[in-house]
Amino acid sequence: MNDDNKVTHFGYQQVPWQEKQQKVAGVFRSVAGKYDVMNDLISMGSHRLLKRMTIELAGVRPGHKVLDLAGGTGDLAIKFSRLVGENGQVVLADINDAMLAVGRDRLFDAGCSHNTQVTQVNGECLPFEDNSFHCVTIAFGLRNITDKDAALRSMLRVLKPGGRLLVLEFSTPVNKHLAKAYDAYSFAVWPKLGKLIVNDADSYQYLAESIRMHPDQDTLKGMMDNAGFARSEYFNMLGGIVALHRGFKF
Amino acid sequence: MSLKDQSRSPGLISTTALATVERAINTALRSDPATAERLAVHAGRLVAIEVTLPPLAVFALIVEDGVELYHRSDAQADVSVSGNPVDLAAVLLDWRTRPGLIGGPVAINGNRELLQDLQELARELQIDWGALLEPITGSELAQQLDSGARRLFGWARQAASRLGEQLGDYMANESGLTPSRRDVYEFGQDVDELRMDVDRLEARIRQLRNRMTPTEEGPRH
Repeated sequence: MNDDNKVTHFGYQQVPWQEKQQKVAGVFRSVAGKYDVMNDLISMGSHRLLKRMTIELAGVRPGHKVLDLAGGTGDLAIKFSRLVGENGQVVLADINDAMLAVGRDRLFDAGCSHNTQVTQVNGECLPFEDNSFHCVTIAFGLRNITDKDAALRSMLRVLKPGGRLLVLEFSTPVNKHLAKAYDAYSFAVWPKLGKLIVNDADSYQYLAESIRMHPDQDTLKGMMDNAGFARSEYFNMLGGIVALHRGFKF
Repeated sequence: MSLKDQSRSPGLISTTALATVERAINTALRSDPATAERLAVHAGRLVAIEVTLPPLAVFALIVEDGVELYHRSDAQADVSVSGNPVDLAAVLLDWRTRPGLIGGPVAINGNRELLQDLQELARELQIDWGALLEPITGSELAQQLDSGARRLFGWARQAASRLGEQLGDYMANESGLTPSRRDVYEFGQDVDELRMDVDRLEARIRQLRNRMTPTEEGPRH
């Protein structure tokens, strides 16, 4: 099958491979302004705790260089900026200009402009030199990338030897009762909240669907192994609703 | 931190607890801008607090607008403090307890001046309960609550100090479970004296051995 005929999923829809990126961009342009409020509402604030755990497992030290990919509104980048200090550097990168604009403003407001850069990039082909970063993070972003294998290889390439990748992403609940309750909550409530807060139910319908189409914990770990990451592992959070994957480059 | 520690799954409950403490500290700092400004001078410094029982580590990163607390950090702390919870509270919050009341001493490594500054800031932190409560209760009730809260916290701090002292007295004088300050001092003096005697004896033996060595081996022809 040539590239013109390749298809991928956009939520539960099958769409041409090249179209997914534009469709995802449309979702995030629509919600960028209220992205943080919506995250707080649909996760009931738990996304902040999950990001805090991610930072703790990142092992970032003063002087480190960190890439926060699909960093959106800069939650992780602000924390990393403080951890790497004067001699370190944080790159907040996202494919979506609207999200980056919000993230850039937040970094400025938080007094983090001295050691941060804001860059619009495609995660599948990162425009950074090989072996550039001590740590790469992608929080709730991998799900939206069309070619996840290419993105993982690209992240591995830009990591320094000894560096680590952290992928925080929705995953598969380990308990079937929890899974049922979570399905009911996400499909019934999220689109309604989206309609109410950002006047966009479709984007949050896509969010709920895209989570179900995302690889489960073991599959993603296998993808990281295939991309060349060493000592790949994952930590289930909130009963597997979210998983944090970690892999090293040696 | 060891690799084993790094591989441990982060706990949601402990993370929530730490986030709550962090929020409480930063809220208190926002209500006392003078202390917050003095703390900001130390922005970028990392303080490690290790509780021995139950085993627990907390890393406090000082930032421009407060503190950030973490359970783990790969960075070298500017100052680290370890001990049991009561002794740590005594050191960090200036509770007056008797030495050796509950457990061992508090170990401090690194920048002691930084720790002293932080202790002073913690003592002087004046929480403006009125400002915090005003949006909820209105200004008049907030002022009353503020004054009540100050009295309550002042009383609590004094009570904790008194309890520490009285418990120390009981343990040392009545029950004999822990030594008194004087006993500890005298024991320390005895240990010092013994150490010096041993040093002197060791030096004497060395001197005698040096004198004997040429005779035993003798000149070779």
